[in-house]
Amino acid sequence: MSELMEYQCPCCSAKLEFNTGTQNMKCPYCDSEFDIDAVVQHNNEMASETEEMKWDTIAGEQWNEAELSGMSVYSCKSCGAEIMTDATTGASKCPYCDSPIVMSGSFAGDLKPDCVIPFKLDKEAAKAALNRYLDGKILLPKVFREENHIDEIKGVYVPVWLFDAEADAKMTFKAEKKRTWSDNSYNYVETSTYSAYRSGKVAFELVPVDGSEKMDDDLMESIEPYNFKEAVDFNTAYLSGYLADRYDVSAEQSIGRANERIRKSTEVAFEETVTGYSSVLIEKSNIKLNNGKAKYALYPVWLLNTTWNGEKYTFAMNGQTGKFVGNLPVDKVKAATWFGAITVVGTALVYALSYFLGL
Amino acid sequence: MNILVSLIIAIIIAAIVVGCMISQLKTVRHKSGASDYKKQDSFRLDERRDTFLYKRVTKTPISDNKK
Repeated sequence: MSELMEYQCPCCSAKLEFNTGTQNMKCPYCDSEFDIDAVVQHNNEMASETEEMKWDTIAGEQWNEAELSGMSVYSCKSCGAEIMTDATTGASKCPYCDSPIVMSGSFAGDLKPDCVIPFKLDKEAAKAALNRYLDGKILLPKVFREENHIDEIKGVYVPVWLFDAEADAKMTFKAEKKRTWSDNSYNYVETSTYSAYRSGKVAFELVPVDGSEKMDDDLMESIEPYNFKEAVDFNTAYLSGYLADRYDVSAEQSIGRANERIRKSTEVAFEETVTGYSSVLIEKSNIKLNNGKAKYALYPVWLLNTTWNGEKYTFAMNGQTGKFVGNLPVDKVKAATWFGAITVVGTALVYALSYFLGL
Repeated sequence: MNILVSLIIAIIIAAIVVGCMISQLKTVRHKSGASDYKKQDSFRLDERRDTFLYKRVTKTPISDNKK
């Protein structure tokens, strides 16, 4: 007998929903609130026994039968995105390209996430943040604000791989000190060149790399950082009302990006210890990375896609911290007008100023 | 100062101002480092060695005609 993944209200047996405001499960009918762990345990007690199968892989775990039966997978024929959610949440439009999506098969071969950072900000907060973001942007085309279909903002859990690493660095820098003086006939500059050697260790943890090809890496990195202290063990309950993207970039493929960022920060950290010089250049950099165990997590993002003037614009908001990013179009006419106006007024002002100053 | 110089200065100012307004609209940035993820107190400098290599002195004659 398979278990339903619908979480029932212990008070009135209606279906519980995840509430972003309180971070608990809330019953829309009797308004009762419950702690997630309590609900899961309650559900487990009510149903027949579940088989928990765990394999040790590099990250993520195997789904158990019960969880799989409660999930639905949708695929987008237009952009190829694969979205999953719990069986009771309906999904009709692709959060990446806005095309309609259809239910496809199961995903028994996938890994289960290790943890998830639940949505802390709800749809209203996301809409308000978008409006605030559009405020005060002088060169934003007016029409853009009006035609923007703000209501279609979607909450998506983006799959990320989290990497730990310890960096062992041995670096050599070329540093210069300058001294100047003059006498009656010459200006002197004395440049002393030094070789600075630094070696040591620095550790990094939970460096995120987005595991979805559909989610633009730069966009995802722009809404960082996420506070991992608020992450919890994964449970399908968190997906209720939201969509989750399936990962399609493996951990092995992602580790390169994480290491690239770690290397860069390591170089900067050691470069900062070379002090007292007028210029410092990296001459040789030898950084060895020891990678720890990776984690597979779901991070919350509010996404909005807009097509305007034939171009596609994507906005993203960090569903935990509210950080909002997105590239907006420039009203070229307005920009040219501003440029022209400042030039004309500026020329007149500068000329007048120079006249009065007698230059 | 003739009007041409004023024009050039004004153009530079206009470019800076419009440039700022445009950068308001572009907030997606590539992240080059992982400094947010450095483990607290994990930085350890084991060896620190500054070695003097060489010195070079350049001298330029002080220009005689002052404007």
